[in-house]
Amino acid sequence: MNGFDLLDAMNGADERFINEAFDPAWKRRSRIRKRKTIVIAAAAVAALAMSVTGGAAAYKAFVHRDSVEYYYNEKMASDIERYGFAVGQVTENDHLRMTLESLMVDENFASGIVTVEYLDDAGRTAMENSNKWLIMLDSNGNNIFHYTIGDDIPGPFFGHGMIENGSSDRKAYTLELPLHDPYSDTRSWSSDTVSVVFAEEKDIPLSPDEIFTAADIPSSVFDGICLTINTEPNTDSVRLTADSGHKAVISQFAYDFQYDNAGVPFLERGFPDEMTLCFKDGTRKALHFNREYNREGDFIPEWGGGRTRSDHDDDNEDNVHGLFNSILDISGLESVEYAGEIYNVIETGEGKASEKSLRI
Amino acid sequence: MEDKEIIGLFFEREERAVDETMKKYGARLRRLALSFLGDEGDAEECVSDAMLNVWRTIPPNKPDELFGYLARLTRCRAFNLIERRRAAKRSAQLVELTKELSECIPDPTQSFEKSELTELINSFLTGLKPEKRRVFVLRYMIGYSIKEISKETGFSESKLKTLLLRLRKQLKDYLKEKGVKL
Repeated sequence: MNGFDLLDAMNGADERFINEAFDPAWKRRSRIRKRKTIVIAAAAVAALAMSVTGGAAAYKAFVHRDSVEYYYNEKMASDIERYGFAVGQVTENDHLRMTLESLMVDENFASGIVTVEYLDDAGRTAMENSNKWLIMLDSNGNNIFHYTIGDDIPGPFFGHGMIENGSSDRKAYTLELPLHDPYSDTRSWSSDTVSVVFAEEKDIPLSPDEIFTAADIPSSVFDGICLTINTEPNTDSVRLTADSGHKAVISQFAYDFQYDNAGVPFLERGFPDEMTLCFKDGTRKALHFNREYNREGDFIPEWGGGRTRSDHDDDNEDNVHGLFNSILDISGLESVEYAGEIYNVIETGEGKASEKSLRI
Repeated sequence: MEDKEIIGLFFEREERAVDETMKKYGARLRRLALSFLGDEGDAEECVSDAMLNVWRTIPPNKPDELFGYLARLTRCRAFNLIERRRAAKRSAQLVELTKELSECIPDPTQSFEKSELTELINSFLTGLKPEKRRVFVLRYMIGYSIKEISKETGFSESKLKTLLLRLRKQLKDYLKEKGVKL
């Protein structure tokens, strides 16, 4: 049996699947979907003896500003520098050099931009022509998270393309690491630092579930490349709850919401495109998606990127995680209106060494 | 013209039924045929043959929705042509789809009854959420390219590639679970 046999067998498949695929109701869903699947540009988490915590960092400039501006607008890039989130940390071997340009960390995610430079053909081939594993190790060297990555696979390490007018040997990537397992509430980790390493998929063809420690990772072009991430939050965040029990976390650069799709016909479900921040002093700040497209043809929302945790199995609930395209001041935040609900702040955390975990 | 009206014309043996069908669905059917055959002339021939088959089978068949019925017949016809022209070069798209689906075969040395495989595929598709099923159908049953699916669905191409990768893995696990040996 081969792939052609499978294709051939589909000739007998139920026609209703074909009719469903061309149902005109999808057109409305498709317009809404465009807003939902915006590429999340954002933060690269960089490692290497990251010592910045909270707002105490001295002002640093990006090594490659165009990498950051590729994913953010110019103002946001300037704000990232101004707030002290620029890093400029480097890890390299004979084949590749990775520079962490920026790092923002809240309770749930660490986000940044990484510039990758190819130092030889082996480095270029490894980055561009093959899928890889990103493996996150805790401070004891144990595998706590892993993910297939590749240029065509959105995920924790993702590069869309060469920076315009940039060198063909240089490319900007987003790095977005979950600081807890987004798909399993029973699995979590607490580690002050995590190390991000890479392995070629051809060396681990089945699954890196068999990678238990760093010692299990086969030698490859990525030897010596290691991003060490300080997971201590360096941004303020708040935890919120709605009367329905839905939870949310908002930080200065990102948001995580649980919201309700119950009662909405499946083909009409969409991604809520308005969020209103309500402050204790009575002021309100409304954030919207706009309808501009970025160079990849995705929507750029006014407040940043957004995507759902697409493996959520409950048809009536959805989760959304996204990034703002400006750094928000959320001090004095009282509640947030989103998806028809009011989420009230129940707990706040400061960027510097917050004692309490605000993970959803 | 609504599908019900077109089907009515078939039942009344009005040749106009074929014209109306081609007016409404001809382009889409040619596109489907072209995905698998890779040649405009072959695609035209395929669609013509399929329409002949439609004329012969409606009545007694009375599909609820016409396009699914037409697409299935056109696809069948395309694969008949591919089988007949074994020596001919296969379309790039067909080669690509074949290669992708080869990832889903737990044991290439094992043969399987086609009808059994069809049943498994139907059952697998039934278990998928509609959005994911739609992407799978557009890719492997209709033969759309990633770019075309992106245009249809609004998903980015990169997201589609991830989704299809996962669906193929899911199909492989499903076939393995149902007895296609590893």
